[in-house]
Amino acid sequence: MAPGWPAAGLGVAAVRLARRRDVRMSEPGDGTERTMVSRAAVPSGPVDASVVHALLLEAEGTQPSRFALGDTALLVGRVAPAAIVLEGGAVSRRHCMVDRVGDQVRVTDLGSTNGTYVDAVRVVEPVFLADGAVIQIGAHRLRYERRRREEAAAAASFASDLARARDYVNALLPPPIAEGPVRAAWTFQPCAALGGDAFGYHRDGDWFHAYILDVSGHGVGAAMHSVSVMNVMRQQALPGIDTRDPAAVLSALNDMFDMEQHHGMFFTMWYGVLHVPSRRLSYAAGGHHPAVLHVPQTGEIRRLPARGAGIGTMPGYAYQTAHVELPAGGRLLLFSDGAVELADDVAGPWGMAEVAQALCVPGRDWAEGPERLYRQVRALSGLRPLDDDFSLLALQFA
Amino acid sequence: MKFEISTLRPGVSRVVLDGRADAAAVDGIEAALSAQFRQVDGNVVLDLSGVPFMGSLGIRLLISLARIVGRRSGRIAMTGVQPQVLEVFETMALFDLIPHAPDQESALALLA
Repeated sequence: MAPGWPAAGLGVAAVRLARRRDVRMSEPGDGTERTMVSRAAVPSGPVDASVVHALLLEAEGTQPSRFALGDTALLVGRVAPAAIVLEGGAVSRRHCMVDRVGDQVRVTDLGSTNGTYVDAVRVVEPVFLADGAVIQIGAHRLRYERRRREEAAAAASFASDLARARDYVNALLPPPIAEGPVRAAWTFQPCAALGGDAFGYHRDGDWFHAYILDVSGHGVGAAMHSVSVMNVMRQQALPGIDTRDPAAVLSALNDMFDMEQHHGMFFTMWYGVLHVPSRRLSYAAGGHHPAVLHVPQTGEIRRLPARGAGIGTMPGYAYQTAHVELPAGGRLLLFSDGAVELADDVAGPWGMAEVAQALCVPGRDWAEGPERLYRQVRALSGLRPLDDDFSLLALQFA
Repeated sequence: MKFEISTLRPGVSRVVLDGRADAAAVDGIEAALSAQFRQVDGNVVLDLSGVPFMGSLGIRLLISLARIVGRRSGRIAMTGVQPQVLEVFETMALFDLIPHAPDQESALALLA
């Protein structure tokens, strides 16, 4: 794990604990009054009705769930009647409470066993939250958001558009292949903002085609760009191009998706074609991470070198096709940028031995490998939200 | 992330980028850098010795600077690329677009 995380932000949170005077408060719902002492500043003045407060529960691979905070305090715990019910042994039945005081929002730990943290600082006394502050409870993260009413409506509409874009990309991804001479397994974990990852594969007689791509930048624009490329690949809409020639495919895409004609966006891509009977792989890359070849029977694991301009960055660039004979039982691993960076970030530069180990556990189903690797890297990262999409495609050859 | 544009010698400007070029950092300087960069004439030496990380938007920024210089028939070279960034640039064949030299004098020689 990288040093410095999760203690980052400690100083910021400490500063938020402005101290002025004590307050008494009672917990709603349990019929008893418990007195807690707060030394945090108590805001005063009229409530600004144009401001809305919400807690966003961040969740893996999807938009966060939103809990609006009105006049009633929100109880957070492992069981009902908590308004926000969180699973896990680290969550107490009645864990903490979030309520509004004037125009400010505060969090109070209710004597939980494992503690409530605000920006990595354990809550001892009630803490007032700054916009964007993160409440951490076990592995769960609740982000506090303070918005003007019209901003909140616009943000909700945008989040809904992002969710639709994510669903569309998901719908275009091919199903895993469990049988046959080439098997395919993958994990696709989009970050909340959408990172523009995409991949695909298909069989064409004795040939098997596969690619992975990663669009520069984030958001709906990047996702739209990746969908455009996916549709070209799905429909094989490259006139006059032999799709068994990887360099020709990348050259055609490079001409078709010149970044100057596409709002400054480019993408990196790896594209390969396997002749199934001979297991001869031809491949080319445009700025993408090298594919990794893994042969479990011999323990061999190595990167397949490839070099080439990002697609759309250099008009007329001459891509090169490389060839390799794949051993029986060999596996080919294709990663997106987000997967490599997250792994590097948590484990130091990614050791291929660790990759092989995670993907090839004796007695475990090979097809679960990508998901298992993802979970391992995520656990090492402390379950913080993804900065970029995490995609890993694994192909196995009989 | 910060940037600075200065005149290195007549007809050659020096652009220094400093800091991690991740998406947020590039977003913060891109408009100002591009606007100032359009006022620059002649050839350009890009100093990346203060950049420990270059994400895809950082690379996009460098490509757009190279294209601006190319459109006015100038030449551009970079220097001071850190090893971890060098590997990314190698993979992307970026040196085909913006040649790289180990120091400023060699970069100037590339522009001659």
